[in-house]
Amino acid sequence: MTETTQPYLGPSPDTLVEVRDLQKYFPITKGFLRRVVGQVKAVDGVSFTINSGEALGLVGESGCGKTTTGRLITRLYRPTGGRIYFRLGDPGAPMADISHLERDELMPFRRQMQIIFQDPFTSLNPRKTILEIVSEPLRINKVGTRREQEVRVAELLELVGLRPEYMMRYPHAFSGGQRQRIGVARALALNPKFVVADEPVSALDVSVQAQVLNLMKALQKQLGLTYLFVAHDLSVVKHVSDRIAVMYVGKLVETAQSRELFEKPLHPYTEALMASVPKPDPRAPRAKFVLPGEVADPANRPAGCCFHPRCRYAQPICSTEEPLLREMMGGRTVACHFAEQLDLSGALAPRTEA
Amino acid sequence: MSNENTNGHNMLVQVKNLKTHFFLTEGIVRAVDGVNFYIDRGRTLGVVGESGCGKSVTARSIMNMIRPPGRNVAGQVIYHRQKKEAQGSTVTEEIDLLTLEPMSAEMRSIRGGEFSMIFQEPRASLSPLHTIGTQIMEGLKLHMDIDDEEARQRAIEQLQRVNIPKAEERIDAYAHQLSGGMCQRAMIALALACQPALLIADEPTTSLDVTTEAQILNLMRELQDTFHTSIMYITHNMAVIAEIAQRVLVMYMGKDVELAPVDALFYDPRHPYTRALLRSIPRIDDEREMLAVMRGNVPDPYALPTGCPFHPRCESRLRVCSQPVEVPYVEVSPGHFVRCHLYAGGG
Repeated sequence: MTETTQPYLGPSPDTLVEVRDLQKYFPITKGFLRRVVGQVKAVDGVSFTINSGEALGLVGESGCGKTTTGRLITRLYRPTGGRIYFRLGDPGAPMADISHLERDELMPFRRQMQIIFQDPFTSLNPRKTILEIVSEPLRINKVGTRREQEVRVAELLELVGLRPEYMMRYPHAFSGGQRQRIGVARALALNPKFVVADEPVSALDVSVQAQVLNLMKALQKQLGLTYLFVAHDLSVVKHVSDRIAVMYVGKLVETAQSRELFEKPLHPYTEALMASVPKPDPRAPRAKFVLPGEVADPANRPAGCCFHPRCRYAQPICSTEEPLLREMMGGRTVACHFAEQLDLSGALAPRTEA
Repeated sequence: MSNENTNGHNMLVQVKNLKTHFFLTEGIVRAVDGVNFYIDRGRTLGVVGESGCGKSVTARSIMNMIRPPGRNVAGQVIYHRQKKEAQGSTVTEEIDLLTLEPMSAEMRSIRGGEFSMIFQEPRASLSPLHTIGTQIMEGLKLHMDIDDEEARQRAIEQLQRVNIPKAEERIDAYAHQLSGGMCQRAMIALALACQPALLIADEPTTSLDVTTEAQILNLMRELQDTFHTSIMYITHNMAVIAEIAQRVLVMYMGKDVELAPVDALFYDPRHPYTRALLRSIPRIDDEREMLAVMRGNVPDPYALPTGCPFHPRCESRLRVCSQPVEVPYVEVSPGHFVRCHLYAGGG
């Protein structure tokens, strides 16, 4: 599918994943003949890179396209437009364009990219044993004999903190946190480089969330994994991510190193999002402002910057001209006309240099 | 303040030793098993706990809505009902709601009229077949002596009060035509239509986005300031509790493990479960590489541990904690109660 004969080497030798101008439109159909009457622009022109060994957090509210982005990268969806590059080989090796590969062409890539789903109650087949669930990727990819697969499953269960003796049990025998550990074990079965975690703890109890987050962090270190961590909870995202990308109605509005983003957001939406997060401290001052209005409809997006109807800094230009994602100091990117002029406050006080 | 409370001066609802059990073929689930607390007039009680701790069943018990196979097997829910006398003075009468028939006229006038409730899934709790307006008007006409015209006018006012734009048009909208946040506003308008004394909110913002959640929390605070409604706010989210509650009840496996003013709960938590819960939540200003973890899982409701249900996960457990004895309930400081053997000496 690549148009040029020259191999694409990516923006840096360490880049593992690059998406460029990624788009996914879902048709809105109507009537008996399922006539297409509109498009939901779930993801509309998203570009970013993920380096090897990095955890990129992807945050935003429901309907912003974060889950769709995760599913596009793992090619569970076919993109409407744009490119997805993945480096199969070592750092420096050429990157392959996987955006339009067919099912069998995707096989070698699928072994390297796995996904952990949000709801551990629906993502595990209740009629299969844990052994069958966790070994499924091995069987599909014809890795090892039955005996070897069993050994690998035992190893994986131990890795995620479950007793290997449990492998003959069915999912109903496990709690939410344990099921999510099983989901993690299945994702790691083929030793992937890259894991997309789609809201992996939002369905879990508070006391269990910390266990799963710690496990994911420890596994990243131990196995050198690269994560795309999709979540709506900013404190969860901050805990696991090196870098954070913020989405709003199908667009990327800002990317930055995690700490920098929380100290000094550059996009008004990021600021508002941080101000809205309730703080677990009754003595904390109340949020200075509450973001008015509602998330825009991705099927009927406002003209110009899609955040302008809710933005308290909006100027006339914001409703006519769409701001492009542009590079700022320190490798940050932002899509706001006034990023330089605005002095926004984050959720963290800037670190004072001693 | 605590003196006032124990005198019953300021209390709206007092729950004493409430036990609600479910008698299933698999066994008995003691969903609520001896819970004590009170809700002050015009204040917010936060109820926090993980799934299965009994917080929603407690709410339903207050509303006297428990149906078979569930049953309130013990305890009292005392409603300190204020009535205006002809001379303008108010008198307070005490009613134990659990002694009323769930479907009796009196209970039905309290439920929906004086006590109302909002739920986690606003779209699921609104009727898909009736307009928002019809649903609000139905409640108004049931509990107040007014005609259609006036009910409609009041319904529009209610929708305006919860900041629904274009209320005169939205009153004729169906639930599916509104966003999640708008549905929850409509739900709140419905619940507050009869100016209830108590609003029970069961995870009302859990399915909403953070920016919408902040709007709804703001709205509930404003409405409370205006109408002096008491709120029982149920959630699993400690941060939301810190934002909205003045007093907090922490529940674990059907037990009231701690009841405290919100500041004391966050700055001087006494029960090991509360402490572990507070330590394990990720915070934005947290620099720790790894989060503190509470070991183990929430136990199986059919096979609760003997003694204190938290003892298998507790870091400070004593030998007595696993013994089948009553766990002492101690007032460690005025208005701050803990159910734990560690404080058996009085704190």
